[in-house]
Amino acid sequence: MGAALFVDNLSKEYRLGQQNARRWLGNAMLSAKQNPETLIKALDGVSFGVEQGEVLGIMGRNGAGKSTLLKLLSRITAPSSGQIKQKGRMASLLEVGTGFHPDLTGRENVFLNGAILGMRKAEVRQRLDEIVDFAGVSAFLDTPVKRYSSGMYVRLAFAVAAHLDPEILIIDEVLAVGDAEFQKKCVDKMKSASAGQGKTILFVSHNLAFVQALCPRAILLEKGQLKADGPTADVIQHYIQGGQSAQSSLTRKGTLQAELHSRQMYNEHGQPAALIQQGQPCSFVLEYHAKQSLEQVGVALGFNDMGGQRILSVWSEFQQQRFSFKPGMNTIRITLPAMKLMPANYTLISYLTSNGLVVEEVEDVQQLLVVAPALKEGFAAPSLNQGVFNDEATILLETPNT
Amino acid sequence: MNSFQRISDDYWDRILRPRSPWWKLPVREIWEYRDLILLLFRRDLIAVYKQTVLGPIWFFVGPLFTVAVYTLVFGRVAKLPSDGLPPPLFYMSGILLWSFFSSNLTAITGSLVQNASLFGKVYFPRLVVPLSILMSSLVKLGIQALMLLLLLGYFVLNTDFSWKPGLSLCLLPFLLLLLSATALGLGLVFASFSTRYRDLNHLVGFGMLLLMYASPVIYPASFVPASLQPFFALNPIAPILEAFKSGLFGLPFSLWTGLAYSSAFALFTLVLGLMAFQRVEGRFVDYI
Repeated sequence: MGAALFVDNLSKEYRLGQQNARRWLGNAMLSAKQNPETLIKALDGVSFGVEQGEVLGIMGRNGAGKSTLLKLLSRITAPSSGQIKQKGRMASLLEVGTGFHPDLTGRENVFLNGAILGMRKAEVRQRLDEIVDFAGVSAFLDTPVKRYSSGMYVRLAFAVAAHLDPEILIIDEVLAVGDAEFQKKCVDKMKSASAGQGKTILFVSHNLAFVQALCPRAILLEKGQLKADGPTADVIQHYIQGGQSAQSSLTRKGTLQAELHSRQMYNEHGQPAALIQQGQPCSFVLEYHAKQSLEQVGVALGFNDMGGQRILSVWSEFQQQRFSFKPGMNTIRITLPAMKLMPANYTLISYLTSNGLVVEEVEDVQQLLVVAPALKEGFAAPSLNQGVFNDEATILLETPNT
Repeated sequence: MNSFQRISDDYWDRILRPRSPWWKLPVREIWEYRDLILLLFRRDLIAVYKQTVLGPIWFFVGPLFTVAVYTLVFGRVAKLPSDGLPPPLFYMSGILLWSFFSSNLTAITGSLVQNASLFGKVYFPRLVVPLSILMSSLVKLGIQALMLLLLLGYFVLNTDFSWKPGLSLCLLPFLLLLLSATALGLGLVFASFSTRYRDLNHLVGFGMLLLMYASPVIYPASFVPASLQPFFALNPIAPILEAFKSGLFGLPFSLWTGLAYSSAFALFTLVLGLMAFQRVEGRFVDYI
């Protein structure tokens, strides 16, 4: 397998602000050097290479430069400096349904959209049945797409894109669309594309669990620069730790007689970690700095899913425990004998109460990624499609007594 | 990383750089996207009359009403001469080519801004859009030419008007080529600038209106007073419209130098337009 893509010292600058007569006159009189503050660097000297057949995860927070990188890779806009070298056809699913015209029928739109994505008419005709099957809209093929439900619309659009036959495929958050069943279809399609057909895939998602599950390797962008490049688990670790808000910038609510001073999560080996394997023990250490002594102290950790929904609460009250805090540092260790949450990323929220009053509530204390357990070859890994928790169970085949 | 650096440029299929040279038109790539040109063209034609009762008949309604109004206002009220032709025929022949030119130019000028959201999501050679516009204009022109023929038939059958087309009617394909090249060239120049300065869209709409009055659409070229002829000669569209009318109705034609000027103008604007377009193509998405 040879190289598929090489990004060489890539930079992209944007000019901020509106184009108007004043700017126009201003530019004529001042050179750009004289007002450099209007330029922002969205990408700054990024370099990486991708081999054919590789699935690369691209991670980074909002504004880190992911979208800019994708736009440059898919030729939507040209770089300011540096270059991108590609081997083979490249296609991107940046936003599905591009160029769909509401008044045209599903069939007409499939052809139009296919052509926009770079397919010849004959190729589309060849794959029409497959596309329509995949999207599950065969009954409505000759209906204008404006009469489609939003789900049908998105499925059809994704189906067209998924049946492109590029050597390099860029996928951005499209898995966020559709129901769980359709998502699974998409993930399977991606897996078979990379493993079976040797396709190179660049995958961008905020869903760390997806990235972890699909990509052996990942890169991390931060403020337009390449911060990490390596095995996905390491890069995710980097990502989560880099994303922890500084102690001072945490949003705290409550009487604040005691404040969270530090927090750390430990994996089953007692090492600081942001990734926890499902089924393994883990612990959370919270250090509180108390300004005065506090009685009847309760401690809680809330686990929210990506939609902000509370999935799990661990509260000292449930364990029939209350503590006393002395002025100064007080350390709380919360241990879970086994992480039962399904693979996904979660946000932790901490609560401290005293005599029933909230002393401190901190949102976004920590990001946590639960990854699938290592199973024997051939067994299905637990995933969010099957619920929120994976509890231990004993399952026996009972043979009747003879 | 170094192993990637060592790969020679010949290995790669595509190298994306900050700027592509202005003389390198992506002709091969546009050819690969020829189906898209056709489909966009089809979309433009079909989507216009989806969910309408009259459907494609709307293509006729506009020019017909315009001819009726011109006949009434300029022919009956203002009593402008029409080279001895029945006024409806005279106006129709002028409007046909003029609207081909002006609607083309206006649509191409607006094409980048109007399709900005599409361009912001997916790459294809941007020139595909102006080319598809040109194509649908040609087809609309074809449809409207049918109407001119019907009108012609009506006047031949019902009045004492006799139709004697001139030999120069053979120039029609060339005249269309000139109009297309001028519209595409100027349109691309304006489109390129309008990505930064939207003012141009307004300017072009307004300019087209003015230019129509400076062209022999509602009056014959012979009607222009001698003192204004030097200015009239600056209009590269005028000789083309005159040549068409003289060919169609067998009228004398004297603007040969004018036609040569129009050809030079068309070629010049086309090259200029392609250059300007090439220059903004890579990056206009950033500031559109």
